[in-house]
Amino acid sequence: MEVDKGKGEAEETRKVAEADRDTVTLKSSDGKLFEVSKEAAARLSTVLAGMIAGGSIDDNGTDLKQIGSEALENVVDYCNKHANSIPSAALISSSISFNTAPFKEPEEWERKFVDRLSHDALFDLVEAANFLGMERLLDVTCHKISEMMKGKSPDQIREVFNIKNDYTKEELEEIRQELAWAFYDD
Amino acid sequence: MVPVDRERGGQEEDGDGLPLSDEILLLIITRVAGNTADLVRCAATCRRWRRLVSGDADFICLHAPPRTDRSARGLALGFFHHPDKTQPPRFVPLPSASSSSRLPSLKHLVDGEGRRIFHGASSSRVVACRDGRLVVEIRRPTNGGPLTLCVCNPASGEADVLPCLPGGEAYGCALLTVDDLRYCKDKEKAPPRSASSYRVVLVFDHDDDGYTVARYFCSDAGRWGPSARVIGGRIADVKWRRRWPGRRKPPSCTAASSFGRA
Repeated sequence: MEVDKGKGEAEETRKVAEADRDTVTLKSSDGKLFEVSKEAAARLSTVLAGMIAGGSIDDNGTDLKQIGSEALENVVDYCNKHANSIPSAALISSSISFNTAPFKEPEEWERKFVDRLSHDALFDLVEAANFLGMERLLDVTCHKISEMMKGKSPDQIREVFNIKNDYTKEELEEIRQELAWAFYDD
Repeated sequence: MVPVDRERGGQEEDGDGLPLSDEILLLIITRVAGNTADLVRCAATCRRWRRLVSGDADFICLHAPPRTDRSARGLALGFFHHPDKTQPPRFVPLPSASSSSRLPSLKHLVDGEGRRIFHGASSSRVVACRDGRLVVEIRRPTNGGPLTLCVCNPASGEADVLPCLPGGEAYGCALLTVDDLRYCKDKEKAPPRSASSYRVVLVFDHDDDGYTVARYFCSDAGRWGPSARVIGGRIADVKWRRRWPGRRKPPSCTAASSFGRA
């Protein structure tokens, strides 16, 4: 009994210490550690908010096996930048679900944030945002990628995204004929 | 770059080499759906993207940003209303119709020889509609005559007057377009020849022998096919009363579907 009690107390002390810290430590799939403001993490990521509330945050680095270090660095960077920027009224109200709330245009700093990323980094970041339930970051990254498709011909889209054309010549011809109005490039 | 374990939600056979899950790619494609031409070009990129655009069209429509392309705005120009049974149905425009130069009207439709189809028709009614086309029953002042149906797109002006059938019986009517016919499994039946092909299916009670029969008109052939017997129900037994208490037939107001594909 005595031993059990002691263990319980130690647990309790650790939890209190954890609650006192104002950052959380995240560990990428390749073992790198990142610190992020607890407040920003809880506000921007539904998954991290759940982990913080549920006490499943590890002081030595919470394992995020699905996210590589480059993507996690960007996630943390985004959280910190977000914590420092003055949130607009639009952003506060956009905490409603992504699927129902109308999309709010990215803020200037968000635009710059995704513009500097390579395609691969952007693709990793969008998957990480989805995994962590970060609606706003998912919004912003999806928006950026969709901008790379707009106004482009299928050939140009394939080139931008390095996609293999797996249609047959006949199928392409059929699509072009049936939906000629959508192909103004030729 | 560190390789990241990803679960591809998609079907491997249409892999496009893009390191994005179906879920994410669908969200991204939904963002371009404010412009229908952009959406079509996405679908034309590769098989996987086409599968997402066609397979999750309902999601895309629900979550797409507001339309920005002119061609897609205001697909529904209005509807046909039939308040006075002695007159042909009247077109009631919606605000989206105000930009179009000519409002759809049955009055201006002409047949192959330039005659106004609905001139002298005492009371015509819309009996079916699909994809911008209407099936209108043309009634002449002399009652009990043959059944004349006109398939038309009042917005584009296309109109076909179908060969007459013996009239007098209660009937049900449906218009099938290429979208309906492409899933037809029957290899013996000729597939639709062009995107404007259609079929009109009529089901009616045969008064003489008590049978219920079905016939269809094929626009490619330009004629009605033979009658086929329908087992298990009669048009006269259809109980309209359930939805319109006290009436034997539905109200004569027929809302026609969109007329945007002119």
